[in-house]
Amino acid sequence: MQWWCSAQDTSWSWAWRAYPGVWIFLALLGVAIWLFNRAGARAAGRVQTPTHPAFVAGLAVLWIALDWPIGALGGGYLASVHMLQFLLMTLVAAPLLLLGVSHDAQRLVNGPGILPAIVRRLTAPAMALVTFNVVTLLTHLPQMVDGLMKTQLGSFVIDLVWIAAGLLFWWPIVMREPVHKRFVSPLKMGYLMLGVMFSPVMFGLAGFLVYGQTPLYATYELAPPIPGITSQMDHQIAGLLMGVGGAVIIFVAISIIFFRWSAREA
Amino acid sequence: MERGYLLLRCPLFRTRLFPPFAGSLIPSIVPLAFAEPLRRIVLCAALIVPALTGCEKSPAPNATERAELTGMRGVALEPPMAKPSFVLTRADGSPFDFQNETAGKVALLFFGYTHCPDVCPLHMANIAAVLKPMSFEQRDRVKVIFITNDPARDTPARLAEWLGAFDPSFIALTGDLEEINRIAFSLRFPPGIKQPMGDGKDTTRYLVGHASQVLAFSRDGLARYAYPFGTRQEDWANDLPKLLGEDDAPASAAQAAKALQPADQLKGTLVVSRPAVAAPPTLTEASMYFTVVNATSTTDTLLSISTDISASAEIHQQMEMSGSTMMHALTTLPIAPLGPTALTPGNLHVMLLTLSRKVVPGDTVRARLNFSNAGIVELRVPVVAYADLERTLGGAPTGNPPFKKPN
Repeated sequence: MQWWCSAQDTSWSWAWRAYPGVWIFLALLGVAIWLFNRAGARAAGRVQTPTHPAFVAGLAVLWIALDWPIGALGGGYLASVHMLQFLLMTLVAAPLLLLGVSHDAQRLVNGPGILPAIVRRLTAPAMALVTFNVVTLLTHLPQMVDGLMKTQLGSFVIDLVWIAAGLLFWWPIVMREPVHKRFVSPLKMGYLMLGVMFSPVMFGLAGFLVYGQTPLYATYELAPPIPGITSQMDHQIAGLLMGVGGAVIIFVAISIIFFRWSAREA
Repeated sequence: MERGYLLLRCPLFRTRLFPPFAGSLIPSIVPLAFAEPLRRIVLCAALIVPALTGCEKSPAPNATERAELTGMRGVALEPPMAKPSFVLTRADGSPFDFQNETAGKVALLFFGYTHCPDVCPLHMANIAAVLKPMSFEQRDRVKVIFITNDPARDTPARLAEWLGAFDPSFIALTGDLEEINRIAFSLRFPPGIKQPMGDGKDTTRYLVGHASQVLAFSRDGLARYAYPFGTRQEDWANDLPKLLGEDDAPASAAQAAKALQPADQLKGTLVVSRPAVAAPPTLTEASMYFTVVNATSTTDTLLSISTDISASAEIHQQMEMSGSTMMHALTTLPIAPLGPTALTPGNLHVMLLTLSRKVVPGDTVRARLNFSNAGIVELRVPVVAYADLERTLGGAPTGNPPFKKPN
């Protein structure tokens, strides 16, 4: 039995497989956020409030992205599903998970100590923007993907890095602490556009995937084939997902920010 | 230690794109405040990734290293294999004489079976994907032959449907299993071996163990390369034009200079690269240059040369004797092992004597080099202007300094 999804040399089967590592990870993440919220409530001297329902949705999206069948297909069979995992983890699950962090818990990052200082530094908008794009670039380099996806540990590290990068990227948008007074709604929209919609990293990678004459990733090119989809087609879908899919998600987020902003201004 | 050094040492990061990002580009494209954290992220990744992937230098040369040495990415066969003679049956029931039907063409021969879950469909799909953008003329000169190891289940109709889904021009062959195994054995391939699936009660459900290489027969009928499982489309895209012998016919001297870099002609493990004929000022003689890299461990010998524009060709050695420069004709030229032998102006060169026609920059000369071990190597040699000669030959290894005959 595998504990985490990774590339396999056996042909794809629709028979369900268990990945206990995914369940344990999700359970630990849920407990960690709950404990963080409790610590925030205690520090504020208040009763812990129920977790935001979006948090449960975030965990559910993460579960869908990591577990069978999406996790298994993306782990070693289809580059397009691998890209879908990336989008789900970084652009969908991450903001939903952050919504589950209470304001009291968020205030903990303003406290003294090295850890809060690191979090404050990393979640500054410019830093988060650059970090997200650097992580996106590095984790999509063929050498990195082909090197890491063949082991469960490597695949786990990629998923973990994606979730962390997604949380960092969305922190300045979703979280109220630390306060960045000058990071107003128009800047937030620009941040999202620059981070994903018009990101040279995302566009560059998508271009390589869509227009490459030969498939970019050996892992998916040489994976046991799935009938009806060639590796070229698979890579092109992956590129389209990265370029168009990412832009659509960000467009939704920008729309929400815009309408809230215009409602406030009105 | 330079910051990019760790990355460069790891084979995972052999790409040329990466080191600049690690070493120099990051500080120049991001605000200074983020440069150091970014470098740390990159360096951490460089340290962590090898640990996770077991990244270490393999003692056996990989496809990239082989390509650097020979320009080809297939596995070189030592010695090359001759095209076998056999007749099997096509999916439409007609006989297929392998030697006759593939004469003068590149033949990619593979043994497999249509129920194969991985190797067979991947090989076929990758070859089909690389052939697809090629011109009709190019594709017409490549024959892909798939011989079933499982004639019991691979009926002609199934073979035609399965293989046709990749490329209708691929040829599926079937026949008596003993005959197929005999052909495989003659090519040093193992016979197909049935491996029952599940509890083995259902005799129609089984896998077939078979050779995973595609054998590539060149147009001269010899297979010098095999392509094992793991061969990627980019490997096929690199090797197929070379197998077709098409990547050495540039249209002009300028194109020649540009195209010669990847256009190394190959014969076994002996590479003849950067050939050029200097556009002659006279109608009677011309000089030809090239570099031979002998990647084997034994000395080879260049026995003779012929071209389509000269009555004869001689190997000349330029010598300094008593203060004057003289030409000395060599009957043969030893090609030292494990290194380059360069024929360059002012040194060794080939004199093409009694030209049959005037050649000008942009022309192509056909040449045949006869080596004692490697055999015949055919070249298409661009004619370049003297002004372009240095650029064309530029970078040619110079392992043999001008010979000085003692007084």
